[in-house]
Amino acid sequence: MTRALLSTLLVLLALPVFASAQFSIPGFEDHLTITAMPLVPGPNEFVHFFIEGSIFSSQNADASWSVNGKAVEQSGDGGIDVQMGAAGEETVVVATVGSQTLTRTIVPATVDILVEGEGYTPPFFKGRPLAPPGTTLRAQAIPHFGSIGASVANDKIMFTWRQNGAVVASGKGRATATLSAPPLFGADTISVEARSQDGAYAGSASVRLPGIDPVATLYVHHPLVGIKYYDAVLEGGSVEDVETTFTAVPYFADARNPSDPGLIYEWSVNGRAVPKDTESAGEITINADSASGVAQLSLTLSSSVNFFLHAEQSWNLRFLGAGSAFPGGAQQSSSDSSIFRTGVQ
Amino acid sequence: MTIMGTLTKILRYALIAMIVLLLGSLAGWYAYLQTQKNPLAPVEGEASMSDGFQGNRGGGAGSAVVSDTVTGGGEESISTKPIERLWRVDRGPVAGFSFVDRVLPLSSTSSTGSLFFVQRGTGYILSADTKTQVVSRITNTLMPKIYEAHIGTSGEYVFLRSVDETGALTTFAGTLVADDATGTPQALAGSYLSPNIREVTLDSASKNMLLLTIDPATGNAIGTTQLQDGTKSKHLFSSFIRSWKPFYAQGQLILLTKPSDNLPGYAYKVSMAGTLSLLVGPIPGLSILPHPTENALLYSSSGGGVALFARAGSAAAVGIQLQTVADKCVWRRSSAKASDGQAEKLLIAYCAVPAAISSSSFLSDWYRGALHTEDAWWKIDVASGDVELVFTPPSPLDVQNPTIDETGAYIAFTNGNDQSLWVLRVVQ
Repeated sequence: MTRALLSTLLVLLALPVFASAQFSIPGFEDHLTITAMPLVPGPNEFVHFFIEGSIFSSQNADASWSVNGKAVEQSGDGGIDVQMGAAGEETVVVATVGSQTLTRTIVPATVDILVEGEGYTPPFFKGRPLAPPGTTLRAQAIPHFGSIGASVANDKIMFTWRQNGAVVASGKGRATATLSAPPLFGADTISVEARSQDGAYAGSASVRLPGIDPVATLYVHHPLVGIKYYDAVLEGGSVEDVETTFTAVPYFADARNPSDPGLIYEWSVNGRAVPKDTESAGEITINADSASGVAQLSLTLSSSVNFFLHAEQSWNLRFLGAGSAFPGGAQQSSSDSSIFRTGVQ
Repeated sequence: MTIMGTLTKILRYALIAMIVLLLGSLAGWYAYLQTQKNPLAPVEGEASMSDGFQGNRGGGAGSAVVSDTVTGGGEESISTKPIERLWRVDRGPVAGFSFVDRVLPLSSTSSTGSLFFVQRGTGYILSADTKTQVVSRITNTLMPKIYEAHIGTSGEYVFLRSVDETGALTTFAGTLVADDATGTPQALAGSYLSPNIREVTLDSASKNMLLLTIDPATGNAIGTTQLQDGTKSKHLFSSFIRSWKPFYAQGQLILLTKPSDNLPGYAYKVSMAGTLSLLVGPIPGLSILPHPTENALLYSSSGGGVALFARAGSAAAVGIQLQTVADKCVWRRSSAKASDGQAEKLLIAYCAVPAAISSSSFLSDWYRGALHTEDAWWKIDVASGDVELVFTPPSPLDVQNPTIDETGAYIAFTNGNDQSLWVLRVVQ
């Protein structure tokens, strides 16, 4: 009995000696695994792999390693450092320890965060709509979890949305969020974290969005060509025609279209207020047939539904055909050559 | 008798005076009319809007003098105007253009295809022969305010996009019929697609096209593919994000988040099942130009400056020493022949490079038409990263929507200032 106890004690005392090299007493093998640090790496990130046992750690000593089929030398601690591939690209790490062959497959995970505003942009605009203060922005997370062709479905991923650090939405499959737009003089940081149900994949992404102050851009509205979105009328610009219709396009404003009843346009020409045209408030027609010099066109743009919107702009425009009356056209009675007739007078 | 005679004499003088006055008035009116310009009439040297075909030669410095054929109302005449390396095809504005495999009118001397384009103010479709620099009108259906036009490379289908009185986007799908032997412009037959199609893009390698709409129930974007004749419509994807710019390249659909300065942009390949796989991103102000046939990509960023990058195959992207955006670039087709007659294997791109980019919000200003650039054309060898100046225009040109013909010999583009249409012969 005493001999049996002594034998068992000897075996237990000898275990650490075996464990430092490899644990290979038949019937008593430690269960070894390859551990990666970080656990859920991103694309192109360097990852340290090492071997851990369920009973003892530091099982690296006699391991031989290969990555994607190619032998790799151990680093100082017996583990290896490997750079991951692109998102969705598999990296297969194999370690052989004694009689055990261990395999670990890593597929780097990423999350994309896409944002857009709901501010107005004209038809065929090539840029992205932004979110003015007082409106909402749309955000969508696109996770790249799992290998290409075997990705993890969104309904098996937990999403957590944060705005300036505070959780604003979360849930399984919650890959989209509607958030409030950044304030006028500031910026918001929108972030999303995604983690697969089994914990195998995780990723996060964030974007910093500055507040925007919408202003109008002025264009000529030609009867045949339409609104010349391709060539904005700039301050100090010249206008070739005697009579021209201008359109103010309220980029990124809280409006469905330029004629949105919530938008308030207040036009003036050379300081004289122009009566409002309810039909097309965003347009003004100027006739310079009996005038000369520069027309100072001013616009105050505001909103009855969004008090953040208030833009005051003016353009000094030179009418190149000014003063050359149309044949048969009525002469302007006023002797003041700075008076430009407007289409709504 | 004396009174009667006097009266008769007075009446005669009055009659003569009235006739003189009338003739004088008519002469004056005629003289006045001669001094007036019809705003719709073609400017000398530009494409005519009359029913018969008219020759059109643009301005600019010429490099060679040749005799060429100008079609005019079915009659041929010989022109001795020089063929220009940089040719202004149309004063503009034009709504869209495309190099097509088809030759119209049939009386044209071209044998390799033409550059079709759509005038924005009339909706007329015209054909330009890049070799002879002759322009002919194909259609006579007046459709003003065409903001955007897409023309299939087969030259059969056109899509004219506008905005109706209610503000809804309209898309007219037209079919270009074969013209008769007289070369008379034809009516554009077709029909309107459903309203409010936000984006349209055509596949130059097939007859596929993508339509991007908004689902009124969910507010999500819906991508639908169909053939250009309207058949085989298929729902491909839906997305919460609505601002996509679609491309067809390498036989598949690519989606780019619409570019915005400083905001991260992403581009995705879309599988036939509608799943997205990342092509490039996140990159601030991302704009892309995928190679039409090869696994190569040009892309640019706009955030604290503008930078251009190129990627070929699985190699890492390299920075190109030119400050421009991918929107101003075009890939030379792989089928283009090298000087030895063999198919050119090099990955070559041509980019219009602004003389200076001073704005910190370049994309926003440029897309709004609030900023115009003065560009020169450069050639990029993507494999080596070498760049070479190809052409500096004699007058400022803000290059937009560049496209290249199958042979790689001609680049067509619009000038951002006025949407005039230009063609550059790449090789001098």
